[in-house]
Parts: sequence; C-alpha cells; structure tokens
Amino acid sequence: MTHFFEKLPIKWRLSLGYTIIMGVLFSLLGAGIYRLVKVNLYRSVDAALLTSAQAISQSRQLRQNMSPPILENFLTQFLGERSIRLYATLIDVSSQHGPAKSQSVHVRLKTTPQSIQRARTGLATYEVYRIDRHSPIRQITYPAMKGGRFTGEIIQVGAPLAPILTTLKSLNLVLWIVFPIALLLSVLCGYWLTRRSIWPVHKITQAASKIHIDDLSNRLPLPPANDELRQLTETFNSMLDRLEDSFKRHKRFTGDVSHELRTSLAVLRGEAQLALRRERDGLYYKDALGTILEESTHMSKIVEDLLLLSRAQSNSVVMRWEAIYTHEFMSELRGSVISALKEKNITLVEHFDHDLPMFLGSSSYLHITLKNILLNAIKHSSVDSEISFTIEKVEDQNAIAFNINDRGEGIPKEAQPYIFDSFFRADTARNRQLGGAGVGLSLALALTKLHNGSIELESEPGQGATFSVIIPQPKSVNVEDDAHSAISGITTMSEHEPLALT
Amino acid sequence: MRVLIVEDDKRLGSIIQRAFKEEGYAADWCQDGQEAEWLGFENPYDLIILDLMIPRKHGLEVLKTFRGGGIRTPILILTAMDTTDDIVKGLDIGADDYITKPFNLDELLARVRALLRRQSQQGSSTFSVGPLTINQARREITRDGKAIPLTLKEYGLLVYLAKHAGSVLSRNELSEHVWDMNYEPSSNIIDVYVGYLRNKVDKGFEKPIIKTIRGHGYMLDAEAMQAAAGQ
Repeated sequence: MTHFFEKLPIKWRLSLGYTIIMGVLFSLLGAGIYRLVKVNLYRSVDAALLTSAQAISQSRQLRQNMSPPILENFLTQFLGERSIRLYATLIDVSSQHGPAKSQSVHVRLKTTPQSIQRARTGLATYEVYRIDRHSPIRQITYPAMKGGRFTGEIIQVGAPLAPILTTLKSLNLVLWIVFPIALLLSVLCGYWLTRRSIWPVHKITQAASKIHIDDLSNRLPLPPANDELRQLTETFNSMLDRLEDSFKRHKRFTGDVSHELRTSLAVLRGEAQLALRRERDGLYYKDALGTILEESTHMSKIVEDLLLLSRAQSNSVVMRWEAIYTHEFMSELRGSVISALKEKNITLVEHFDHDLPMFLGSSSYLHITLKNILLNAIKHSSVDSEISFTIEKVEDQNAIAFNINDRGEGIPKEAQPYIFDSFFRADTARNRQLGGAGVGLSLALALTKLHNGSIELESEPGQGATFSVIIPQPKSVNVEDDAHSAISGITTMSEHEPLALT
Repeated sequence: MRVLIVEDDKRLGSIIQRAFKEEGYAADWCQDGQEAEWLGFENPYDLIILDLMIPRKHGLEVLKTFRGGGIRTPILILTAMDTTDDIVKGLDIGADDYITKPFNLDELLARVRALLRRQSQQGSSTFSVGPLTINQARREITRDGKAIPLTLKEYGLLVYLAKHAGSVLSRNELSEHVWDMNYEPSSNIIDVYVGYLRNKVDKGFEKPIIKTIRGHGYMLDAEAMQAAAGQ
C-alpha cells in the first residue's frame, strides 16, 4: 500500500491524501450532527411526556375523573397545541385485575412487567414500541407517589414518534446529498491547490533543463514566497555559482596550458622549418638549435610542473616526512634562486631562529614551494631592492613559518583570491618574458597542502607582499626511520637531488 | 609589402619576423595590444598577423578597434585558441583568416600571399606585368624569360611597384610599404634601391620600365611594358 502510494505522482498523492482526510472529517461531522439532532428530539419528547405524567399525578381531580377527553383537553391546555400528540392512561397496578381502570383515547398503551417493577421502586421508565403497523410510540411509565410512597397507580403517557422520525429521515437525506458534493468540491479544490503549489517546481524544472554545461550563466527564477521552494532554488543557484566558477577556472586552466604548450610547439616547429627553408651557414643552424633546445627545456619544465601539480592536487604523490637541517636547506634554496637574484641585483636578507636547527617536512617539496614563491617575489621586485626571508616557530600551533617579504608593487585586493590559480596574472598579461609558466604559486600551494600546511598572503598595493608558508610539525612522525635517524644525528636529507624542475 | 606582426612570445615573434623578411616583406613586430593599436593606426600596413592572448589589450579588442577605426587591412589571427567558438568569433569580428598554433610556416606564408593577392584582385601568386613575370611563391623574377636575381629589398620594392604598375608611387608611399619601422626618413635609401633595381631590371633591355616622375616619385610604366612586349 505504502509502495503503491509512493509510486503515485506527488500531485495525485497530495490530492488523494486530502480526499481521504476530508472524507473521514465529513463522515464524522455528519454522524455527529445526526446524533445530536436525534438525541435532542428524543429529549424534548421525553421532557413533554414527563411533564404530562407529573401533571396528571399531581392533580387529584384528574386522577379520580379519568375520562379520556378531559385528560386530553387538559394536556392540550397544559402543553399548548403541539405537534406531538399525546396519549395518556392511568392504571391501578395494585388491583389484582390488571389494567381494569386503564383508559386510553386512541391507542392502547402497553404495560411491560419491567416498567411496573421499576414503578414499584419509584422510578419512571421510558420505552419505545410499535403497535400493529402504526408508527412507533415513545411512552413514559410514571409511578404516582404520595408522601414518598408508591400509591399503586401508574400513569402512562405516550407519544407517536412519527414526526421525529420524519425529521431525522430528511436530515439523513440532506446529509447524504451534501456529503458527496462537499467531498467532490474539496477534492477539486485540493487538486487545484496542489497544482498551484507545485507550479513553481514545474517552472524550476523548465529553467533547470535549459542550463547546459556550455552555458552555466543561467539561474533559476526565485519564487516570490520565502518558503522551502525558494530555499531549494537558492541552494540550486549557489550550487550553479560554484559549478560555473570551477568550470570557468578549469576552462581557463586548460586554455592556458594549451596556450603555453602550443606556443612552445610553434616555436620549435617554426624555428626548425625556417632553418630548413634554404641553405644556411653553420652559425645560423647553431642559433636555431640553441633556440630549439631552450624552448624544449622550457616546455619540459612546464609539463613537469603541471604533472607534479595535478599529482599533488589529487594526492597521488607520496608525502614523506623527513628531518630537514635548516642551514643545509637554506643554502640549497639560495643556490637555486641566486641567478635570478643577481639578474635584478636583489639582496636576500635571511633570518632564522637559532633554536631551529632542523624541522620536519618533505625536503624536495618544500624546496620547490619556497623557490617558486621566491621567484615570484623576485619577478615582482624592482631592481636593487630587498627580499627578506625568515624561518620562525609558531609556538601555539606547533608549526614553523617561512615568511617571504618583497618590496614590490603588491597584489591588488581583488586579485588576491586568484593569485594561487594557475597562470593567473594580475594584469591578465601572459607575458612569458616575466618568467615562469604561471604554475609556480599553485604548485607551491598544492605542495604546502600535502604538508597539511597553508599559505597566508598579506599585501597592500604599492607596499609589497608577504607570503607565509605555515607547515605544522607533527608531534610523532609517522616515518619512524627518519625520526630515529634524525635523533641519532644521521643525515636524512634526501640523497637524490631535490625534485627541482628548473 | 609591409606586415605587422603582433606576437607576445619573443622567440616565436622573432621566427615569424625573420620568415617574412626572408620573403621580401617589410615586417614590424610588437609584443602587446596597445603597441599594436598604435602601430596599426600609425602605418599603412598591407597585412596584420594578430595573436589573441597578448598583454595589456586582448587581441579581439585590438581587432575591434582596428575595424571600428576604419582599417580595412587584411588581418590574420594566429593563436593557440582553437575552439570553433573562438574561430567563429574572430572571423565575425573582422579577421580575414585564422590559423591555430602550432602552425606550419609554409602554410602561414601561403595564406598571407593569398590574402594579399585577394586585396590586389590578383589571380594567383605568379603574375605578369608586361615583360615581367613574378613568382611570389618561389620569389623569382623573369624578364622576357630571363631570370633576374634580386636582393630581398630589391625584390620587395619591385613587387610593390609591379602591383601598382601604371600609378605613380611617392617616396613616402614606398617607404611606408616596402621599408619597416627602422626606415630613416631623411635618407635617400629609396633612390639608391631604385638605382640598384634599374641596374638589374632595365640594363640590357631596350625600353626602361621603371620611370622617374620628377617631383612625385617612381612608376612602373605599364604602357612602356606593353610596347616592349609588343616588339
């Protein structure tokens, strides 16, 4: 049943549920109304019967002169002209002869043993019965009392139930006609309301089907009411924002990669083709081969950087923690950027804590990270300026920080979120003459993240920039070998060349 | 024929410039969008080679500015952007041809020749003016079937004169279309080269075809050539 219900379209499910609830409600309401009317009608009849019986019992004159026309006249006077026509009778149950004194106007009222039994204990009894084929009669059997004692006389007053039954019958009929109409109406209204409230979903579906991977700029229309549908729409829209952003970044990345590689290929092909077009002297060929060699070196650096970047971003490189000796590490790092420093006559001012002889991390990855950030700083520094490089402990985080500060032109606030995107350049210029392929900083960030670390950037335009690479120091090193050898003083610096890609 | 090359990559730009110079073109080369605009409006180029991803101003913006500024010069886009969208956009904005990197140098030069001859309503890369036959693809000149070896500059000068045969070309016009941006306006280099050209083209033939129009400039005389051809 549940299965069937869940398979129904939501529109029908809601309507059906609504119908069932309305049906139950209407049934209860109808039954209630019917019952209420019925009880009230009976009560009013019973009250009239009781009043009449009491009146008869209290009137000595009536009781002694019990003639039907007098009794009926009395009752009519007493109760007024009523729709209920009453019958009355007085019976002396003390005599042995049964209903000797019983008199009735039109019908003969019945006397049951139970009612006489009750009368003897001073209780009135209400009964309903049918005489012949006439309509049922409601009857009270009332004991005549004197001084709290039963006198042996009972007074019976009866009334035909026909008017009440007619009223109830019509009420029943009305209810049975109104009920289906009301139910049908409520079902239709329910269906209409459901359709109406589901309409925004329909609109959202239509709008969503128009959104395509080639054009993610469309957004779903927000429904005016601030409800669940609006929340859903907003959630969808913000998801689309993120999708569009990541698609744009991805697209730009692949576009930039292909631009870099295609330009390099064009140089290789063009230079070779040009050289082969006619006979040249040896010097020309030498120059051409030199260009080709340089370009292919540049190209392999890009390819290797990209490969490492994608591996680092997908966590498919092995992160090996090892003990790194600060001085040794620094001298290697300095060596890898010295030519770039000299080219612009930039002084590298180094400062590191004396109580930091060694730290933990991947020597080759940290080397690439810091070299790339340094090269970036050099690229954006003016000639004859200074770059400061500090290594310090961050005590409260149990980490070490490498701070690289340049006095360059700084990074505009709006460009800062994108600076770690591959190939991003603040002025959108793709000037390869500035050096690097634009992968440097994103590679630095990816490799820092492998260390569970982060890179912080502080920069005001015109005031230079400070990059802080923060590498958390694990309390217990997973790579026990390295930790032990580090403690026992054995050099654990990688025997291989750092994975330098320059 | 004078060509502007807009290419931000140093090595590639140099390759293209050298290739064009070897074909007898005057070739100017710049590396960013702003300089390209300045040069494009300053000089009457016969053709522009335009890269799209260039610093300072995007190639398509440069293209729009050129077309908006009334420059009708054939423009060939040479870029790494290779999606159909990019190509359609480039051509619709006003480029005449589109080549993606990496490209074949021979194909680039052939396409440039095609664009230039479409510009001068010329049928193929080999054309004749009177007794002269010029094969641009092979850079060969013959007069009455006799091959005339020329230097690059002489060749460039003769091609320009031949393409405008019958009309008088001022020294200024010649300097703008045959010499690149390093031309020294005060020099008499044009007269010197016209002299060299006469030595090779007219010497030993009956009728000289390169005429000096006093006070105006030079002209390759089509009628004289016809007369020469008629003989």
